[in-house]
Amino acid sequence: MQWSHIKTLFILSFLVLNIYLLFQFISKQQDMNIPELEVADMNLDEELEQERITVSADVHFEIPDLSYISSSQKEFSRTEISELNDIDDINAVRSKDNQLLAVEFSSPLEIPEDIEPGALSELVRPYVLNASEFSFGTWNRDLNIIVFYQNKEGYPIYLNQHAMLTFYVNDDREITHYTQTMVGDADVQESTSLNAPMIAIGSLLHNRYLNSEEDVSNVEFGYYSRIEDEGEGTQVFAPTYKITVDDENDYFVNAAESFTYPGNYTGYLVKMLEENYLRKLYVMLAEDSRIADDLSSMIEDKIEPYRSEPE
Amino acid sequence: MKLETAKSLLLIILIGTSLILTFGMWNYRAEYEPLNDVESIDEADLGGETKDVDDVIKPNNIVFKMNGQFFSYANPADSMQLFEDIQRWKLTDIQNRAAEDDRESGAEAEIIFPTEVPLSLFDSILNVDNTLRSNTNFYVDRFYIALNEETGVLQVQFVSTDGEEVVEGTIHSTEHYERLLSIFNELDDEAYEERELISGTAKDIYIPIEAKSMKSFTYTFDTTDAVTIRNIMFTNPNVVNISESAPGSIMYRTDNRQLNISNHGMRFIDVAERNNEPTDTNVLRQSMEKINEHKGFTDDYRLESFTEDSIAYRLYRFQYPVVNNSYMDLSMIYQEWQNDQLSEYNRSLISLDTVINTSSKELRSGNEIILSIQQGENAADIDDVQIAYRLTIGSNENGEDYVLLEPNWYQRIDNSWSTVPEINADTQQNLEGGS
Repeated sequence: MQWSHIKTLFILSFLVLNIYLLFQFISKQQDMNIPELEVADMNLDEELEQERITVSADVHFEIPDLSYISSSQKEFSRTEISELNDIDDINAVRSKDNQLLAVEFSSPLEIPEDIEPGALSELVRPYVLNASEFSFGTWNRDLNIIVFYQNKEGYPIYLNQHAMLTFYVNDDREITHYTQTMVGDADVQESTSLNAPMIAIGSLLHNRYLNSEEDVSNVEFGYYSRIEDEGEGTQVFAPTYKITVDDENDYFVNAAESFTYPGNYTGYLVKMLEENYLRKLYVMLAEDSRIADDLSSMIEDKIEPYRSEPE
Repeated sequence: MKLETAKSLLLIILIGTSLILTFGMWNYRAEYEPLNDVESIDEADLGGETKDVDDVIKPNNIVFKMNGQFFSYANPADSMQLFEDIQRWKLTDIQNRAAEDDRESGAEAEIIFPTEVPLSLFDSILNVDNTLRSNTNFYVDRFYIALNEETGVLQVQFVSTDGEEVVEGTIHSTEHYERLLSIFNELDDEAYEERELISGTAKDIYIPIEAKSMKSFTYTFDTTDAVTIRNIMFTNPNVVNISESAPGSIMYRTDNRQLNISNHGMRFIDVAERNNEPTDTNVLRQSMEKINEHKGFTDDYRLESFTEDSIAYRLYRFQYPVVNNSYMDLSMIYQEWQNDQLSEYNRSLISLDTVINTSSKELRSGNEIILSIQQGENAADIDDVQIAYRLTIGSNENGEDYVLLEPNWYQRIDNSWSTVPEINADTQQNLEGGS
């Protein structure tokens, strides 16, 4: 055979090989270029559409670079108590373990009608220790209690009895007492990759908390913990999405591992008051604290209709 | 000539592109590698064996009943050998039958298990030609094999614990019949010991009459290291907070899970709520699957008890149960399940290594035990009476920890084991004077 023939043969075989390789390369590229998350997203969009679920919340914000944090309970000092008592109109006491602050307004603080959360914060600011660390959480109408969450690393710790500022409101829209708990400095753990808000919405859907024709009305970012073991002190807070559905139900979705919890505010607050705050107030009561006496009977009245039935 | 140059050029280009493409594909792979690293964490395991249902459900006694007398193998290993044989015997002609008041029969063997299990589980424990599945509420903790002398077959009978239903089967085999018959013919051999039925207890319990002497064992042991457990219990170790709550006690936490490792054991809780679609897999299969996933059956663990959402396995050694009863119970694997998710997992992390010392211990006689039980006020609540090894951890003068297994008589009330109390002095004297 001649050299030119051999060359032609080589050209042909390499052509075939190249075409094959090109196909392989392109299919491989397609496999890998689409990360799994996007695949899930595409299916999710379809799923949401099928269930006629709308997402009116802004979900395309940049995911903050948050890590798990851990923190232990803060104890209020004697000087902090006297600092508070120096403020006119209020009297403060602390629980025996120094973790719960109970404060009474000598003349109840009236809340104006139609108040904005920002104005509410301004209203209470002069009477509260470390007020700048707290932001408005929710006004629970069942119990008529206003809850502020403590912020850590710039984001609120949702619904946590150890990091909460709680205002007790009477029937005349007046704050008569408040209690406060705080967690101390946070230890920030190694960073971990967080899911996009749409993934969190997906896990709501898959856990059947999100049903057809509902609307995802708000998505926010903060910290949340499920284990509130008291004795040990240290709590671990996970970066968490607070997702509001139909402007009415809140859900907490762990941003790293997608665990999902319904935000049952009344249930949580009743349990917290019953099993934690009231117990501490009773101990103070034994030492003749008038503030504890007034506050505990007020709390008892509030939670009376929601108490769990004795078994 | 020009054509030839063009062809050479084309060939070179083609060879070049094929090289580039091959190389490109090679490099693409590399970008994916880090993900595999994360997955490899899941592969942490405890190094135990993968077990099946019939590895964890085993009888703790086989009693041979003849002419109102009861016998067992003196060595429980012989009982286990016989049971393994029975597992291979082909059980046919399975049928349901209404219970009779009197289950009187001639020679029969009673095979007793530590806990009640659904009858359907025996599908995977015995060799049945048809399924035993019947009523879902059919629970059994024992079955009977009777010798039918007329027909020369073995009659197998399961009686539900409520006593209302009976499922029967037959073993048509002269060979197996002869095997069991030969046992009944040699019951006075020293391989067997006589047993006595304790009266007044919750279940039929047969214990050896004669006092025995058994060995205590001292073992060296290994404890699984904390990081291995952490990697098994937490999918993403990056998010886990570590603290040392007390010297030697490590606490791993996230927002919903907590793992405490101390005193050679672990306690794990997971409070995450999951709205899984309910499945009908039972807790036994779920739990075995989970434990096998990380090869967690590190020793002879057997089913001790289970409910709809909890399950417990107990450590056995030389066919005898091991009892520890400390806060970190080193003789147990305990799990709770909620919505098909593991919500609690407590277990021992020790594995026994080599025997470094043995000593002999005289155990109380069966008569003494029966007397003690009948003296006590809770005889009617007693589910089982067994010789068990008490497990304690001690340390020698060099500061090295060891495990001591000491035999003693134990009674089981409400799934908790305690030593059978010593009888008080007066009755002891009466007993000695009388016998």
